[in-house]
Amino acid sequence: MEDQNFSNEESLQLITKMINQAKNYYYDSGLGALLWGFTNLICFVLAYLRDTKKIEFPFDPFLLMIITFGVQVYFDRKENKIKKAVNYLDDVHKYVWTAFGISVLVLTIAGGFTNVGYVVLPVLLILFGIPTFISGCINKFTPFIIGGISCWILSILAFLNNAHYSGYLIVAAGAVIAWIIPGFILRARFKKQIGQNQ
Amino acid sequence: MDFKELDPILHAPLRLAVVSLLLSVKEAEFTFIREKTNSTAGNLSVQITKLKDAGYIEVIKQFNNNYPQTTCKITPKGLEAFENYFKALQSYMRLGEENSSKNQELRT
Repeated sequence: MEDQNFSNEESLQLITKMINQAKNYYYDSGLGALLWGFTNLICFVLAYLRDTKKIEFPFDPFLLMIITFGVQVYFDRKENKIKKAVNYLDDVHKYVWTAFGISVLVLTIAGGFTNVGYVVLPVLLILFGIPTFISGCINKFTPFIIGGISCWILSILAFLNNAHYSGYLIVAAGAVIAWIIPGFILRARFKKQIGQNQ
Repeated sequence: MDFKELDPILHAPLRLAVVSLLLSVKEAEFTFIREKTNSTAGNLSVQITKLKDAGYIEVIKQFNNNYPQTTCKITPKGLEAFENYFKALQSYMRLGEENSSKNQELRT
């Protein structure tokens, strides 16, 4: 791009082009979705097996999430170094997922203390749907939109199931539809993008 | 109609491209800007320095894995300058349209 004077029409075209270029920059390796998707799948299946007395587990399977949280922090730090630009939408994502994390924490802790039982599971699915659906809408990524809506439908199913321990399996299914499948799609897209840039 | 002169700092293709790009992101790396503006490192470096000297952008230099990394972000002054530039551009274009329609009327 040469540094020379140009017409008003050209400058307007340039502004539009550059704004669109920046708007289309979207960085998501899919690792976060896969990590949390698989963690939730494993935790909820293990919880189901524990409650149905099919296996004995030495500790609460949900404690595995603490390890996942550490791995997530490590991934975030690594990816932030690779990212070439920070979008304003990245902040929105961060806030939405943080609010979701806190809500889940409050729900599970309060639910555990008050001994409300399996009724927590459908509520958890409602919460799963919110950030997933918002992320899908913001990035125009249909698998997340479908995943979010699926979580809400599964939540109805879990309520109809009369808050039975089999609700664990419904939540596990929610993790597969909302995060694991979209995560693999994001990962494939990301690898393709990297391949094109090389 | 009151016409303001187009800001000479912004009325240059590469500098305008950089500011327009930074307008839509919170911050961007030098390599990202170079890639999107399709410019050479030398030329981009000169234009970024001009924008920085005018106070329109902030340049942060740091090290990432022992490699130097330059990150740029637009300042409130740069944002205001861009808004004024855009308004001035619109008024010039409106005048151009009015003149061309007047000329057409005169011809008919």
